[in-house]
Amino acid sequence: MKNIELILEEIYKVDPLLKDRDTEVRKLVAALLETKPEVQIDEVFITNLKNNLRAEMKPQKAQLFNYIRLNTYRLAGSLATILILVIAIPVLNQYLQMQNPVLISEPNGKIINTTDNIVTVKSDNGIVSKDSKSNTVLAGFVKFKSEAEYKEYLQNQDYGGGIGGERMMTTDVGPIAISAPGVQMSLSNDGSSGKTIMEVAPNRVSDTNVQVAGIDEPDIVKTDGKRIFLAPQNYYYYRGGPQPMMEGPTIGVAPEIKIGGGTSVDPGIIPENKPKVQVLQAFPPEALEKVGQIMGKSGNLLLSNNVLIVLGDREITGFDVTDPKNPKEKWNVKLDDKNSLVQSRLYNGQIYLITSTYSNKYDSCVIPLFTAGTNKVTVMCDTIYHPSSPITVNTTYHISTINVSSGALSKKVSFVGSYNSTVYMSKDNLFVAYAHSGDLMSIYYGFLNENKDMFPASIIKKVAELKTYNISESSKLNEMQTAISEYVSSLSNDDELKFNNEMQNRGLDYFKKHKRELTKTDIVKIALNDFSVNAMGSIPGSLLNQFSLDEYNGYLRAAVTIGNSFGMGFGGVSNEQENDVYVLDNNLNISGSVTGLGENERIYSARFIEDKGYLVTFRQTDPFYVLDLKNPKQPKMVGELKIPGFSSYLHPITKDLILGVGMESSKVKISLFDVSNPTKPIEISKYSLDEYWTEVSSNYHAFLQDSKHKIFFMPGSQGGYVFSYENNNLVLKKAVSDIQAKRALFINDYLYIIGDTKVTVLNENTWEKVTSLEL
Amino acid sequence: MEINEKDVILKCKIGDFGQFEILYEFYVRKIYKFIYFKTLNKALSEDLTSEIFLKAIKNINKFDTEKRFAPWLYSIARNTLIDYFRTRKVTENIDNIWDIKGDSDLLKQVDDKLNYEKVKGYMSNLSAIQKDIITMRVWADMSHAEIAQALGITEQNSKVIFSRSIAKLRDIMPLSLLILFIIKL
Repeated sequence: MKNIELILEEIYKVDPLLKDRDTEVRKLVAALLETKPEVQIDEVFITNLKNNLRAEMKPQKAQLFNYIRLNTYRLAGSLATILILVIAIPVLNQYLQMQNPVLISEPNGKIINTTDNIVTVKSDNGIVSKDSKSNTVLAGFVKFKSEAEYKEYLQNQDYGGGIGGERMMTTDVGPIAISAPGVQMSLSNDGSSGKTIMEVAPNRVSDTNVQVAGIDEPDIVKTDGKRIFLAPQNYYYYRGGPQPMMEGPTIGVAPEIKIGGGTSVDPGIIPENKPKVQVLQAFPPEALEKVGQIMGKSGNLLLSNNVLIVLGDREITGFDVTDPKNPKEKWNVKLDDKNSLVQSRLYNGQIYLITSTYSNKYDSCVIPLFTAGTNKVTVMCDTIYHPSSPITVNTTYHISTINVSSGALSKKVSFVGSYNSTVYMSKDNLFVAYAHSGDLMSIYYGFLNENKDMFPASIIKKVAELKTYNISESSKLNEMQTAISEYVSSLSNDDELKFNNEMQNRGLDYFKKHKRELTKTDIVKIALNDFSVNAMGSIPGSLLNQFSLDEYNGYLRAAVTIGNSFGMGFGGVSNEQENDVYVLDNNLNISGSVTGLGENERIYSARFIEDKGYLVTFRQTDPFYVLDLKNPKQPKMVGELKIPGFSSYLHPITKDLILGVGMESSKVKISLFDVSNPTKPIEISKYSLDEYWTEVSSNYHAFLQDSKHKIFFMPGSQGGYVFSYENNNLVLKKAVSDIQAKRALFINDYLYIIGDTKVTVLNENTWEKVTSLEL
Repeated sequence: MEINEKDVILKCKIGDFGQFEILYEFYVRKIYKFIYFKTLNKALSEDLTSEIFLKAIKNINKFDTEKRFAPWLYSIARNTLIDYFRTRKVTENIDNIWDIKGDSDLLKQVDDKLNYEKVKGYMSNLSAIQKDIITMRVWADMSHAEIAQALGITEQNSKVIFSRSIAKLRDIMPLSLLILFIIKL
């Protein structure tokens, strides 16, 4: 086959070492070629599409359409895992040895932790853990010393997920925090003038459902009780012909939701659906009306006193909304083309921004981030932190803050990591975690060592030497494969057959035993007061989303799944999964753990509430685990409940009642778990909703609890639903069908259901409809 | 085929569909194949290809003619795919059919299940860009120059990543298992 020769030639030109294993490479490429799918392009389709497109082209006026950008792609149901470099002593000692142990200078260094023979030093350059006797660096999170070091670090990294200048796989700005129940936003007196209706001040206003009370997260709806700000996301789906923008979804199909940030609107189809933010006068309900709007900007919103912040794809704008009829732009921060918004939070008058840029050794050392006014904000590569031992990185994370009133942008700290990240913010610290693969060379070497009877001593010796070489990991792996391959080809057919069988059996056993080394999640802890990197740690496995992390009394709890597609797979058979919960101390060292929960299952939802943890794993049934985390050294699983279906969002209704929103038999299911006796969690009430999908499963901002009326709201594809949990019983109080419900909020005793094109207000005492407003 | 893209696009911006047609003819089958190799479903590929070109045509005004068209078009393609996968009832990190686990409905729509199963094992071990480059090189038979354009990387990047992907497939699978696997085919 000519084709294969061409391909092989290309490969060997780049990597001549592979030529030594021509037989296998040839087989591999042949296999790939052989399994190529048959593609038949329907020329009728091609012609039809051309005609359709011709109909679309019209004389151009300025288009506000901003096509979908990848920057808000998020792992469904999960947020960026935070890169946590935990110096887990026993684990690290094994294989986090630096190739060239050197003394790292530590300007202004001070010891922040001493355990056994390991001392952790924090200095201007970062954090380093060293063997106190030999001064060998075991693990560290330090700044690059120079541009050359920066490039060399990236040199042999995988280009995992990054493509050119595109923002890939960064996490959504979308639902991030879960609000603790009952948190009220303080009302501010906006002192606005020009009111035509007597202004009644509401005394109770809901907040966005956030993870940590008091730390606000961006969402499409914000209110201060007097005004409601909406940044509607428009649905867009094209099936061979122009579609009305608000076509309802077919039953059983989730609506095509626009990824947060930009809106995609075709002005030619529905002219009024341009990107904009609507301002409504909210209270009293009788006075509900549209009073103003901000044109040309859309995205998730944050609200702080009289400043409305719009977080768009490419820019963040602060508007003075003192006069809701005339929002005035106060400040604007533009993200550089290559800079993507990962997450943001609002806390104490500051916006905390986490953005990411794609890391590529061909890029310049001066990384442009923002343009704030006339100010261009960049970061120099030699101020970027990195883990001492090389891991696969393809993303650089940047933490910055923006002062809400002045718009002053301050760049704080940057570090490299993988794209697969999670961000969690507590009142004291910002945690950024990311998952990456473990040290394969050590893992393989371990296998060889344990199976010395299978390999000649020369090979084992060679691999031991290889580990110490100063070359990339993939080169080492190549070398190792060459050595083994040569050995195998020297065997007789009988011996080769036996060898292969032994490899299969023992290999599977071994990797099963070492599954916690295959994927690791590193966590970086950044203090909010001075943005210093205070700790870093590493745990096995990968996080589901931000709810997998929680800080309590100085300890960080983390729930992970071990063994998934990220790690090893043998011919498509993935490793058996397990789930662990780790408790990390102030320095992100593992203080205690519970491991092996939900064998063959993975975590679907997690929630930590004070000294308890709740975990839902799933394969066929939904084990609901209750964990007692009182003793950080000895966390334990104390209760378990197995029910069909799974929960993908857990919400604490009260201390003893946990609500789970998930699925069972393809329908949306809501469960109420009584956890007053942690050893015997019970599903005391359950409701199966006639819906195939609810946004709450993937975006917890869509959930709203009103503890005063003991109800909660959730949207579905056919409308919005209000449930009561009074008397620990789930009762559907009200369903609102004529609305594409997205969110709800309450002001005094009125529930405002916010849909795509209308707002409906219900009286929370009678559940009667009070009024509605077309948007 | 040599076309002066910049000229063509400038004309498109002022509504000359004849010019867009040139771009269309040049790219539609490539994009279709790109999508097909990631979804393995004819109807879906046609839908998504339509959506991609519609978006392209609607946004042609915003396209910066100093840049290359292929990367832009392919990024629309990628984004469209991701949107599609994201709004299905799947909860893992996926950007194409190779990442889907279990009994998902999406898998039921695969045109050729047999081959899919064989290759899934390989593909699940690669990163997104590695999957793309292998697909584009081995299946879509694109040259590295074309791949580089499509993905916005250099031709050398593409070659290096491709060869690394091949090497990685070998790295990730214990040698003998790899041979076993290939022999099974």
